[in-house]
Amino acid sequence: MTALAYAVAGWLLLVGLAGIVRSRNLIQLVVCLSVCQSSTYVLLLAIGFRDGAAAPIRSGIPAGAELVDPVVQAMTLTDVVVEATVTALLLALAVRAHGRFGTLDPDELAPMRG
Amino acid sequence: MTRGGRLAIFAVGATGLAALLAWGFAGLPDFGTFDGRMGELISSIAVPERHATNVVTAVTLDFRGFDTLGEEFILFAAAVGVLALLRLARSEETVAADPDEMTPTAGSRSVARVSAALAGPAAVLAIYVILHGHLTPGGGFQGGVVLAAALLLVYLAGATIRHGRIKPINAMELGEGVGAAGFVAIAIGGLIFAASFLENFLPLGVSGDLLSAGTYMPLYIAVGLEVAGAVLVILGELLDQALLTSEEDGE
Amino acid sequence: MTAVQTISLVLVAAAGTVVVALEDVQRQALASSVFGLSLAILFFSFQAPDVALSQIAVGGVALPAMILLTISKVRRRERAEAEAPSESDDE
Repeated sequence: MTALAYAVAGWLLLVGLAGIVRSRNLIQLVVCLSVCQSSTYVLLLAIGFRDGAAAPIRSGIPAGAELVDPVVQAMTLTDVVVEATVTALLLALAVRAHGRFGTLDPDELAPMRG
Repeated sequence: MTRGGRLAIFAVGATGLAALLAWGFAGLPDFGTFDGRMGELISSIAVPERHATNVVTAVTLDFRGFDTLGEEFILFAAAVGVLALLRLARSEETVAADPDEMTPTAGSRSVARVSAALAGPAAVLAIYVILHGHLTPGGGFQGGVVLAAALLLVYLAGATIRHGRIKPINAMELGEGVGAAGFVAIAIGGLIFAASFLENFLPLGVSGDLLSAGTYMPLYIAVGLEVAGAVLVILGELLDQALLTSEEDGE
Repeated sequence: MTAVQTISLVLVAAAGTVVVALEDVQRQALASSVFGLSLAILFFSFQAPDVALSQIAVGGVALPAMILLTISKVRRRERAEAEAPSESDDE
């Protein structure tokens, strides 16, 4: 049962990749990529978790209390913000691609090469 | 390549990747038993040495602050990139002629009223979250996005911001720039008033007080401005795009 | 592992699968908002309130908003081109 968290992280990555491969729409592709990215949050936070430990906020808890790992949480925080920027840029590119080629299907975009 | 062929190749690759992942995950510490020495060390010194009760903030703004500086500029670059990509497209298209279409809630007064009622509380929440980042969960990143959402509610609430008349996007760009520059200025302050770049040079105060933990609050205010500005620039530009249409449509 | 963690892990896996499986982009955008919020619940159960808050703001609101705006842009342009097909043929 303890492997469930890691299994979910792996599943999200694979299912997101499958969505990217079978996608016929650039917007859909970006959404699937965001599913892939969330697998990294699940993995990082699952690694940093400690059974019975408190959230890394040192207020209202005894001074020596065990905390979950704050370093992976800070990394995940960065990760979430970076996901937003990546998605924004890709969506802007999708808008541009649609304006230029009149389609969002990556298969129809490929042979045109500008 | 056909779709079926591509999916077949992917199935082979995905099986291999799944096996690699399973192998890698098997080498990880069991769930709930992580032995992160660095995290433990930071957890134990965040309050005595930095007077910050939120340890994640201490990591983000101090122990890993240089990384956050880079992240700030990733966000800045992304917003500039979206602007560059979409403003180029704008010369090819014009605004829809029907002014009613320029306000997204033109057809729904109840949505406009609910938005108007929520905008104030959302802004207060955003400011609270930003200012308490060193004490409780939250900070510039979370609060910045909420602040952007609050300002979007103002937009949803009415016809005050219309395309072409007021250019709120200039103010957003300014906010974004001031945020990014503020972070760097505070970081350089560490260089001038203390020993090194990003060093916490302000008085640390009493742990748990609002005015404590030195530079964390000003840094998070800068981050909040930057994030809110960047999110609004991106959403505003996409919104403008959604209102743009080709010239034929305007007639 | 606590019951809350187990349930929210299953919920996240299911929501992620639904997001990928949906064919219609607009539904996908709304499903991705639900997925973002289920991730936030998971992060709370992992004792990561900071990340959960930022996930609520980014995954629950900002990303779906960006996606919906992009969809509305593309649909509007397609409608315009359907009315004036001669203009878009060369592009």
